[in-house]
Amino acid sequence: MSRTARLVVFAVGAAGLAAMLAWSFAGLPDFGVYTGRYGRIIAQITEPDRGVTNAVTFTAFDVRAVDTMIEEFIVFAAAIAAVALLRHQRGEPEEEEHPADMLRPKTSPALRVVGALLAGPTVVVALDLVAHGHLTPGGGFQGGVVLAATAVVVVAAGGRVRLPPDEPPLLAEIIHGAGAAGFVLLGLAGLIFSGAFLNTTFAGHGTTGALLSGGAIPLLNVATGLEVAGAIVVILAEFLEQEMLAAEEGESS
Amino acid sequence: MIAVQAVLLVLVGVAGTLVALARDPLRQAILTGTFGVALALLFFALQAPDVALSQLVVGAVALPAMVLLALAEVRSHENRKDDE
Amino acid sequence: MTVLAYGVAAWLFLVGLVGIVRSRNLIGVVICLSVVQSSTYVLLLAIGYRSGAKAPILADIKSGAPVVDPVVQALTLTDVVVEATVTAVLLALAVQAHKRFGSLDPDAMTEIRG
Repeated sequence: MSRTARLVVFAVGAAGLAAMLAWSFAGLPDFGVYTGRYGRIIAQITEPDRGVTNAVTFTAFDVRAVDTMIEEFIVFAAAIAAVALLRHQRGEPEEEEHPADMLRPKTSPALRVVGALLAGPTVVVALDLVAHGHLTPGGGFQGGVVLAATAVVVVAAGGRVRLPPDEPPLLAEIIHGAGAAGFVLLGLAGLIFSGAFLNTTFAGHGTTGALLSGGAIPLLNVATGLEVAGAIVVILAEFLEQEMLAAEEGESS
Repeated sequence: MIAVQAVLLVLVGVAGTLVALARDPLRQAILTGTFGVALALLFFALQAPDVALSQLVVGAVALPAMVLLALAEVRSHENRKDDE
Repeated sequence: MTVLAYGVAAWLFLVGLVGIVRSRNLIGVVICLSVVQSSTYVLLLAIGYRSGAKAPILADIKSGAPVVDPVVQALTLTDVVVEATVTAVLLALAVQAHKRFGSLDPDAMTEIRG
């Protein structure tokens, strides 16, 4: 089917889709009018039930924890898929010409200084987001991506990249697996100690607003943060190795 | 408050349109970063700080980095093929 | 305001689809897919919004004060991160397709070679 024919068919379909969207959105409640009951109930039981103050983290890691676990496994599987797609290419013929196992890109000193200055505070912010996830906005997912962003900053400013072709796996891969396994282990601990998978009350209540409160929710936050950070760093490392391999081959040829 | 939300909604719509209609993938990558930041601001205005935090980092750092790396890789491959 | 909020969500969805169909570059397709995904976030948060309500962080709010729905926020929050990783897999697929077919143009990849 030619491109024009494809666009015409799409236009017809899109018109139908737009009409149906308009019709179905007309049945939704007005913007600002909230008619659900689930949200109200959660807002009421967050503090007395678990001692956490962040209702969103409470929902994600307690009320809907199995949902979050499955989404975390999507992240895990996506990292594995990206590695599987890109890694086997490293057996390509130009292996012997590689001088060292470290590739250092050439960046200006100013960029490196900025990167070095930014890396530390960003890691601290990431750890703070993870640790306080059940009290203030934040949590495992947010802290994990900020931690991965630190890796991006460091590499963009000219950090070194080590290639592990057959070598021991990246630290990020170990962290990644540990996070995913940690989540499941905490869920099993809930099963063993409290009778329900991912029941978070087994780790004690604590006082509302303290850092160590809310049962196992902070621990789940940490596991999630590790997993998400590891996954994103693994994916970016794969892309980066591929790109630097190709660039180095381009230079040496 | 309502004015802020309306302005941000329009901004998000415009940014999304620009991303979808851009021709060059490099330009699209940079516009994606802007779109991500606009979305994060909209989420802040809709009283969703957790979502805004993750959207900010993902949309402005992780996603453009991945797209740019993929583009660089493709470009290196094309250069290498041209040299052969 | 209702029309604007839901309209922007629907608009982003349709414009993203237009971008996917019109694009001449696989990486552009992936970026437009992320625009389509963003439209669902806007829709979810717009549904959960409550006029005059605060964010669902109960630390400083006196109990009983109205808060925005936390359930849709939990859904959207995990979704944002999952979107990033799935986009990464799609980008890896695009790079591999480029290696196989030599170009990123979807129109050039019409044959499935075994």
